[in-house]
Amino acid sequence: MRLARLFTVFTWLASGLTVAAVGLLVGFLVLKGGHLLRPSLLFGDTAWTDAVFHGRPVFEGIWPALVGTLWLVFGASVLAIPVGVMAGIHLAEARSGKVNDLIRLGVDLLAGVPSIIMGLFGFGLILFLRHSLLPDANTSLLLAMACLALLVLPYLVKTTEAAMHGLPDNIQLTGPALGLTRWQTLRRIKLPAARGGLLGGVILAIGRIAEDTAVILMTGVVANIGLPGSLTGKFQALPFDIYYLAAEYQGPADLARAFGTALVLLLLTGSLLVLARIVRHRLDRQEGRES
Amino acid sequence: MIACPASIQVQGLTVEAQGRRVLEEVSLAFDPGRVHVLVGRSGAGKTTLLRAVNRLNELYPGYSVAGDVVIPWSRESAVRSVYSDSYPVEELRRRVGMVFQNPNVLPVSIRENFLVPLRATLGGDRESMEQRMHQALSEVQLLGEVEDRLDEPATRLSGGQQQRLCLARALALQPTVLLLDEPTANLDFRATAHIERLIAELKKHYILVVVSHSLAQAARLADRVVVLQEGRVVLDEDVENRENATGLMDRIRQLS
Repeated sequence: MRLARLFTVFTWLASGLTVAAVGLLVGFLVLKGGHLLRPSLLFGDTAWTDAVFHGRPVFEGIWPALVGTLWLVFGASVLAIPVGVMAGIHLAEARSGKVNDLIRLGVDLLAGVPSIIMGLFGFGLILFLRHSLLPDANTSLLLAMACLALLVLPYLVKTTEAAMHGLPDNIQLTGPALGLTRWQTLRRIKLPAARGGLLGGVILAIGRIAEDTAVILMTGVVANIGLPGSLTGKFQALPFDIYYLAAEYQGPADLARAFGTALVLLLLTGSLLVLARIVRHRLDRQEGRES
Repeated sequence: MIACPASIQVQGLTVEAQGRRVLEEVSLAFDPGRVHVLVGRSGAGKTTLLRAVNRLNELYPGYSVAGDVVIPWSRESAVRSVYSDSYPVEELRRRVGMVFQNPNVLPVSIRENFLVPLRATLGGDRESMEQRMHQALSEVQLLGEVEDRLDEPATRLSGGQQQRLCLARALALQPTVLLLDEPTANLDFRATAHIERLIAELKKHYILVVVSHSLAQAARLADRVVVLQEGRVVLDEDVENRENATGLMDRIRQLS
């Protein structure tokens, strides 16, 4: 009885600690960098219309890094999402067998690769290419996208597989019992029913792409180059800007900008989560589920 | 609608799942115009027997089947083995409607619950699909309740209504056989009574096989009772009238 009460107290404490940690983190960032959340954080002394619409270079602003991160998210998503979701569907639909066990093992191994190793792989790939097929190859936006795609691929596969597997037996049998083929069941019943879960995996992957630093560190991110010029060029990105500003700051203003940038990154990933919730909620409402 | 021309013949059916014998040498006949109720403890093989008729067992790995099940293919033509290779299994499953214990409405509108399977299996024009939907809904006495809200989510219906919707959805494919797997297990007594009235009505047009969890329900519904025990048929008897049904149920109770 006393043990049970102690346990309850402890679970409450643990939950409170989590919330407190989040509050402390966000509060700290807001305190240090909140006053910088103005257009000048993004665009420095350049007018924002000039920067956004006319491509005027921005100094002392994180606009180029924000655009760089958005490009990374877009490119890596385009590369990873179709492959990850398809592979997840395959694993969920396929009966177990040697080949599929091998695929699962591969996905697990890939999920266990630390992101710095993924960056190192990209870097090594470029070295290899320089000595063989493409003497001009260099670390670049495209390489970073590809390596980030590889990094989030296992998340996508696993969440997709879990979403499809998690469908109740009821839903799994509905299609076949009505005489639908396997493809029709997948297309008309299972995928629509699992789309909330699929979406969750996609948003998770996008957040992971946006925040990863180690991979881009090895594959072409730089501190001051402006907007990304091409897929084969260098680029800036928010996480690296934070690292660079915090590590090499010349004065309190620079350090404050690092906090401001951190807040922007947090807002970006945070709004992705909110977006995911909204989309999910709307899907659920459409389906008439009680929430 | 004309009644079914022939019976379902289950012939020496043996089913193994992952090396375990679930059904052993089961031979039965299910006749048109009658309600057949399968009873027995859980694990006795009732659901497996039901799913052997529309071959749903095969969706799970490690099933093997020996013996045969023959069903009337349509109201006009002769019987066919369900395990024949001469047609796709999906065609069989359209001719054998199935309703599950939990109403498995799709999380879309009431109308789409009909249109999704109808489009996928038959194609055809919108008008004839709508016609089938209305026909099926009125067959399960649901039309009046949902006529003016066909585009609302099916999940908003009550449990009993959802179950009748599932029944109607199966009927819209115009099957010859209806398999009901504990269709009232999760319903309150009024919804149960409604489904039971429907079953008594539907038996005029379909071959009806019902798995039931309750002997009382079997006594109310059955024209024929089959008791399964560890994969074998231990009793297969006609119910002459409702009065001797209770006596029969007492005998079944003593079997187990």
